[in-house]
Amino acid sequence: MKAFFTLLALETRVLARGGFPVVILVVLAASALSVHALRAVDAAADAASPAGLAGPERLEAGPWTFTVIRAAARPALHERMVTTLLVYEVLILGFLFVAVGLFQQFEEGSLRAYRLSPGGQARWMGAKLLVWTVAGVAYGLAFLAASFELPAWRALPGVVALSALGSLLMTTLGLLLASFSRNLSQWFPPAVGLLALNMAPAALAESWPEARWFAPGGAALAGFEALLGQGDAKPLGAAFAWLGAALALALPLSWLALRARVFKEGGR
Amino acid sequence: MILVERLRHDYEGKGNYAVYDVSFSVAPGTIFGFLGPSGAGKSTVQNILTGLLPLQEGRAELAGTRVSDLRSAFFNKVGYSFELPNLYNTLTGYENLAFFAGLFSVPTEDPMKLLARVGLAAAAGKRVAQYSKGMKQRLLFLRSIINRPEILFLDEPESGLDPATALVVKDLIREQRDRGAAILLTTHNMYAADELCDRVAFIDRGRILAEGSPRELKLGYGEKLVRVEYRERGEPASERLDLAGEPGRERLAAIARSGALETVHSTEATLESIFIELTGRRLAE
Repeated sequence: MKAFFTLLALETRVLARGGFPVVILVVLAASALSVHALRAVDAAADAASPAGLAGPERLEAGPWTFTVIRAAARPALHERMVTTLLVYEVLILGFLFVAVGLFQQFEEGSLRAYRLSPGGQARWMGAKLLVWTVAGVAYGLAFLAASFELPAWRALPGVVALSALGSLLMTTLGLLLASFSRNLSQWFPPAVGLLALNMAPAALAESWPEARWFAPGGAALAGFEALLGQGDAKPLGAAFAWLGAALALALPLSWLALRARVFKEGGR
Repeated sequence: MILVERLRHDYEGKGNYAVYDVSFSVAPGTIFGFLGPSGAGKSTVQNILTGLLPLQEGRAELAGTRVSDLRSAFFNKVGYSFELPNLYNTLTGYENLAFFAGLFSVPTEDPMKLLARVGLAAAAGKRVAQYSKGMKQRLLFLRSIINRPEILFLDEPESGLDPATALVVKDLIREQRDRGAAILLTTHNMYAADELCDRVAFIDRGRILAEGSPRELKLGYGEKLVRVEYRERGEPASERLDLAGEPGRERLAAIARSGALETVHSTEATLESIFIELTGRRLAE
């Protein structure tokens, strides 16, 4: 365990010193401000709309009379922004930064030195995944707090659990992808492609809701919407199951890729 | 113990061997110098021995374990100082040593004491990114001995060091040897090899050309000549005398008897001259 805690301390120090905190704080501020701006837009739209549905609206058609009790609820813009940013910004934190950290270690050669220590691959990988998962959850909570969108206490454990699972999955995928590249330039095109695929479900949500189950981002989006009361609560279990299954597949793949490309004899 | 037998390595698989039939052994408590110019195959051998390159042909063992069977726990017994710095640049010098010390499950040295030995105590809290080349080299060396290794690989450990620090590092290397470590020192610095090594091997174009103690090699390849300097009618003069023959010995005795003798120098071979004789090229090429 001593070696694992040593690696945790290393990863935390690297996270704290590598310029990451500044980047994270800037992005956090921008994201929270965008939610506040959209909240103002939502409020302005509400104020500009007529009395709204002050009373039941009646529609008459032939012999039938319909009474509209309430319009189908659609989350406000700023609420949708919160779930979107939770999935496509908070959860990909580890995906991006674990790759940056890995390339930094390639460049300075420290990973080569580490390979000739008794630290081993399992501890190395475990420490990275744990640190970036915790960082992802902490960043998510900070984002919700800064956006004044912290959920009710009852929903908080679910939000934390889904953030942790999603961050862990994306960080694992980040390591998997990074193991096939030597530097940021090589990594960038496939990473952007993968992130675009991950975002596709959000773009297709209106016309093809089932598409969300084709990518981790869509599954996580369904989960967060259920947790934050923006939609049906039913997909929550499916979202956890989907992300859990994806993680069960991604972990061994990432392990094998790192073993073959980074840690094995002849690796970098 | 480091054991290497008939080691071969071909990077491209086209029969162009970077290392061909290399054999040597390093017993505990000895320093084995691997001398050769850049590209001779020194680093290839070291990388195979540490598992950074796969073993293709031949036999290579560290402390009785085949290098292809090395597991991460085995590295508790090994220290490695690379020629090129590979430190964590965002950590301080102290943190770099403390981090590596934390990975070992064997007793380790106190990082601060080690830093003080090589004059880095004042810079212990400074990030490595701000270190000079010489400071990084010292830190790399300290990292390699922090776990008191049984087997120590040193790749140009004196590179970039000022003479005073080089002396301290050499003392530390000897301490490791006296503690019982088997040390493989890779270098093209013949003076360092001559000073430190119990045995040396010359390697060029992937093949070992000669092996022995520096003394044996120098005697084996040297000439029995002395250069004498003396004064003749008040003017400085010098001669090279072959002591293998009677005339040379008599001439030396005559100059000594005359009282004009100033200095006598042996003309034994240097490791550099032996290498040139064997290969026709210099070690530093």
